[in-house]
Amino acid sequence: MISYTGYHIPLEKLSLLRNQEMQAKRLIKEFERKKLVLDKISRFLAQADRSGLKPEQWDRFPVNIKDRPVSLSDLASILAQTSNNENYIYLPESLSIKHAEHKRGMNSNNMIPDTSSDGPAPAGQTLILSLDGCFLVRNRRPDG
Amino acid sequence: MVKRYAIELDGHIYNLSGQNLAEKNRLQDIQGCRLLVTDFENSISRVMQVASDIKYAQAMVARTLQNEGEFDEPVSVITHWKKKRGKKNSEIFFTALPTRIYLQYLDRIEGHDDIVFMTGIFAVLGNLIQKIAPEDPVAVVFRHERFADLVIGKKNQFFFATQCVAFDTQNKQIDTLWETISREIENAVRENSINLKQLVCLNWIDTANDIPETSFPEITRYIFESEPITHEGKIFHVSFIRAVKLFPVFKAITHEKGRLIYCAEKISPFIITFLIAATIMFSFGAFSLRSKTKSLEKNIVSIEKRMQILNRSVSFQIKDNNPLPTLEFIDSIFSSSNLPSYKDIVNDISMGTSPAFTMEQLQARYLDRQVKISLKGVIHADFDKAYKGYQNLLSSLLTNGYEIEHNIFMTQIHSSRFELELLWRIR
Repeated sequence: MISYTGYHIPLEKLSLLRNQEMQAKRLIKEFERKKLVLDKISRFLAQADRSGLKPEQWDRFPVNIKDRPVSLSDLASILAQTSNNENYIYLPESLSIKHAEHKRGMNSNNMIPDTSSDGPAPAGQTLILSLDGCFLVRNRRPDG
Repeated sequence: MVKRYAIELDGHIYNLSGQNLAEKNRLQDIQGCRLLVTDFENSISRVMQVASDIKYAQAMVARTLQNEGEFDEPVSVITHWKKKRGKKNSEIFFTALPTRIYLQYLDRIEGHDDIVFMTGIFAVLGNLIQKIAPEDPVAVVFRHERFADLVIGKKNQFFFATQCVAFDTQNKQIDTLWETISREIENAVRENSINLKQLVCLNWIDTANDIPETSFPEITRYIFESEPITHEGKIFHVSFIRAVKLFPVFKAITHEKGRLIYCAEKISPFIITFLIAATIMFSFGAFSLRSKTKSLEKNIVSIEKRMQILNRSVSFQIKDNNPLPTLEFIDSIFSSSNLPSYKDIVNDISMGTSPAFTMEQLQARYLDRQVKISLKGVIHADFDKAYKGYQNLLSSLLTNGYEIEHNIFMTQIHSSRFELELLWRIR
């Protein structure tokens, strides 16, 4: 019995250690993989820092329009400004355009203004506009 | 340890211990006795054919013996061998004795301090024939005092068994006894149509070198291998002792507990050997495992060190403790640059419509790298024209990268209504 116990205990220990060794090897592989990912993230963040792409380097100007009656020409003007250009970035969140009234006479034309054309919007149509978003303006030159 | 035998013969009881044979008064006086070989008082031994199934052969023998008047009281039959002959016949080699006497024998061995097994003289003779295992029949004669026990048989078959008796041990009577034995053998050979090749004689301390020259000139005859035995200060060469020692104890009669203890005693050396072997094996295994364990432990220590180094290098890898806001900020700029703006969406829808279209509602929601658009409107035209215009709108939207998740078109002939769910996502 004693000799069996003397045999059985190292056998159990060996099995435990083998498991432990296997787990340790697996963990190392996982670590190495994570390290690669973290290396990439780290390089990416460094590049972002150099390019001035950190949140604190930008000023935020939220826009919130709620059920505002607008004419077609106003709408065209508003929509034209909610695009990115060299001075700011606009982060859109939501847009809603509805007819103010549902009368047959008011539906004779498309409610959507063709903003690609510079012509004046048809008069006499009122639309209800809701809009959420945010303007981002760079507040300083990136360091380095 | 020397095995002790008790041999009960011709009204005497002997203790055989090693090579010493000593007469005792009672079986109880023999300490450490293992096997009692007895001539069973008032017994007869026969080979008999009975007209019954092999299962009932013993009962049939008992009844036959009582019917023939051999016993006038209940009889017990000890079977040495039996064999099926055809469907309803059996052959049996047995010793029969009055049940009353048999029970006395059983009481004697049960009352002994040791576990004692018991067997008869004829069982020993039958076993000897099986041990010699001849292909041709052989006759075994055991001569003791004025008696001669005769068994004729071969491998797995017995033909004849009987006891011949002389009036006394005078030479003339012994010669007559041999004549009787010769006659019995001749009759058995004739009745069973067998070709007897050998006559094996077993002697006792009172019958040394005892085959007359004139008997059985045509067959080989010899005294079975004998052993030197010291009895009352004299040395005798006795072959029956050899036959007794050849008898396997487990074939003898005993109570069930005795058989169990005997088996346990028999196998205990094997168990001890097995345990010793297992101990050696386990010890060797433990030694080998310990060395493997040590090498693994070293391996694990080195792996753990490597993990610690990696852990440290990973924790120093990122200077920014919380890079998530930066990553989310970059992602939102990326989405804004790549998703269609409000103006793009309105233009893409306008491009696909005609003046007959009236849009009642347009909704756009910017989610993670995608825009979900909901559009409701009316087409003021006849069905054919309205449906074509609607198809053009869908086609135009698909061309501009929108996915149509859901669309409903309902017509009232002169005007039609539609509802669209669109999705645009960064691929």
